[in-house]
Amino acid sequence: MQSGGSSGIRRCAATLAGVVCVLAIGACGGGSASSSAGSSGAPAQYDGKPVTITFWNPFSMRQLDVMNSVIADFHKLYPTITVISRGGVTDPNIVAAIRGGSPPDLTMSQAAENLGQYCGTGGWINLGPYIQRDRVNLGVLPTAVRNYTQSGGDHCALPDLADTYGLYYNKALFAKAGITSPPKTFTELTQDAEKLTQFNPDGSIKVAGFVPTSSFYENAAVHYAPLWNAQWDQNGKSSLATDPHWAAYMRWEKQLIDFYGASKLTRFLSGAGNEFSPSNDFETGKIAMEIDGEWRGQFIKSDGVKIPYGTAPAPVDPAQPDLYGGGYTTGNTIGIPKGAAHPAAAWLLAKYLAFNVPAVEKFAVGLGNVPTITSALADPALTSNPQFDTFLKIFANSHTTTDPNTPIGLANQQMLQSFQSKWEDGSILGSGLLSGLKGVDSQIDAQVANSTAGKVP
Amino acid sequence: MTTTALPPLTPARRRARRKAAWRGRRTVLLFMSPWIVGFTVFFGYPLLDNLYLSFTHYDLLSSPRWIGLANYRYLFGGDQQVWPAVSNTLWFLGIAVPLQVLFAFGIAVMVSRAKAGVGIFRTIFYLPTLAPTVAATLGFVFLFNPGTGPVNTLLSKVGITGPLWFQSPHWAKPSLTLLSLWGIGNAMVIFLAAILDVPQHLHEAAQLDGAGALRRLWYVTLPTISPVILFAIVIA
Repeated sequence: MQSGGSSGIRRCAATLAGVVCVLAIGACGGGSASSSAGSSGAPAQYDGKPVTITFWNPFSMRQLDVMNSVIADFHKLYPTITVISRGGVTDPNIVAAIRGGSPPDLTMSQAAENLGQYCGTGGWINLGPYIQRDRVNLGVLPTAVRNYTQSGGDHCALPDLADTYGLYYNKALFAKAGITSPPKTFTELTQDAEKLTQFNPDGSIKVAGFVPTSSFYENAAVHYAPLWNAQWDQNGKSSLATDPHWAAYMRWEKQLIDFYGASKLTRFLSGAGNEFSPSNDFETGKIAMEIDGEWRGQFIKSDGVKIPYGTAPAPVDPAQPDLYGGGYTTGNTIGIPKGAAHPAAAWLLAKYLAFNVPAVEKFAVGLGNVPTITSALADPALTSNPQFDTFLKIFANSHTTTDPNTPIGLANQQMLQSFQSKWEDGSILGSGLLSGLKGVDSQIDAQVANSTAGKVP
Repeated sequence: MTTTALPPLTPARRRARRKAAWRGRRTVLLFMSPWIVGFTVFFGYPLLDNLYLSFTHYDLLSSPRWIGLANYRYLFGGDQQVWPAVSNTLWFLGIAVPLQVLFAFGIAVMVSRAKAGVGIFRTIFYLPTLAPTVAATLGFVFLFNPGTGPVNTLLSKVGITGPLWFQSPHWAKPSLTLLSLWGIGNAMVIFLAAILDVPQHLHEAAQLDGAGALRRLWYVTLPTISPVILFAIVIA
């Protein structure tokens, strides 16, 4: 007979081990729910029975009201489909829900760069079969929009409004400096920035003509890449060092930073106002020009700021003046998560939000964003505002591009940003630029290779 | 002195003893069970699971995929952030932690020697600990803002151009150390209690032997409170 003490302890240990095993199985199995559509031929049509679907989106306050108003219109069109709209949802929430096996029926992400992960992992189902079944004409979408809504040949998302970037300039400061038109190349921009910059008696910056620092507001390199025709990858490899346009862009920004003095500029930026508030430096007149999204006009209006401003396409590489007129674009993506309870009804809502012209126009006007359907770009409600019309033209320009989807999401941009900060503060000397970019390339390539390691082809 | 031999244990007595011992162990396990469950669920399991996941590619959306040592190869061969992170951690370990312990101990010694107002000083030095970390950090960011912060404004009044503090790669770590020194209230209170707990007669004996204040600190106070010093280092 065994001693009661040791067998009791063993029983306790066995119980604890059981708890651990149950947790382990639960954690590992959470993400393995099967896709409800898209893998076996044509997906099922909505059967017309009353259904309630959930739609997670990132909006809040006024923007959520606009979204809900569009959803109410959808409900009038499909009275048997009731939509529960939940705003304020971020991508980590979406991932957690999919992983937990109880996702909403439809989700919206504001980070198109994450589509590579959603698509590559099957987190969002491939909408290709739905698109084919309903003969949806993707030709109504501009090329850049088609690019950021697909990954690896799979169309896992539909678009719902886009952001486009251009130049904002302060007309009063321009007039004071004797500048009559916005710059068209980065050389002109530097010249104008130097004219527009004002210093305090102690030498500190009072008004900056243009701040090129990559961590400032909307200055991320991804927004500048189309303006220099800089490519993120070539032949499946990161091309930051091999594409000379990256070095040209970074040498230009360093030259302008050196005009101010890196330390002086850092001091100036340490007092910068919050980007999305009335204390934004462009809105308070502390900077004369900035590259920003089309939404800034809506912010200036809602902040009640009386600033005489104009908009124009962002300047381009002086060696490639034909790029002028284009820019960077990205946008919201809508997807049906794997494991969604009502994918057929969710598809109807997704299609309505992406392709119903009045709905797209209503949403674009309400949010002050660019509509993603080419025909909606001519809506007088949008074009009547000359400052906003600039962005509609940039969006339609053939030189407007987006960044490629990668299996590592935004990590490539973050790695470049980390290097760029060192380049901007002078930690890396001019001769170290190319070797530094090569280092970032190999880091990105290694992470991409790592993310696909062990994958069954 | 005589010794008495114990009578041999009968099987019945042996069983009774085993039963009593088991009852004792069961009681101990029962009282420890909340901790054991908590430890297993919130520490043991995540630790082992992390170890397993480090040999896989896991994107959270699909099941983990076994990739052997690929993550470690990337960590040590591809990721340029690893060694700066290690170096920063070692910097904090070698400089910030000793400074925190010394600072807390120094304040505790001074407060313990105060003739009057001990309570007031104790409260003043402990108060920063009560400030929420986020609020304290924001306060420091405001104070040390290189463009508009009061610290650099004061320095400029005496002709000194203040550094970029948190924004400078050279000044960021010392600035963070300053921030960490601000919240040493907990360690200070523990040190104070330990110092006040050192038996007075040891100090008196050392004093009679001619030991000055520093020697008494070195030979009496420090050896007596050494377990507390170790604890303070661990929590720092």
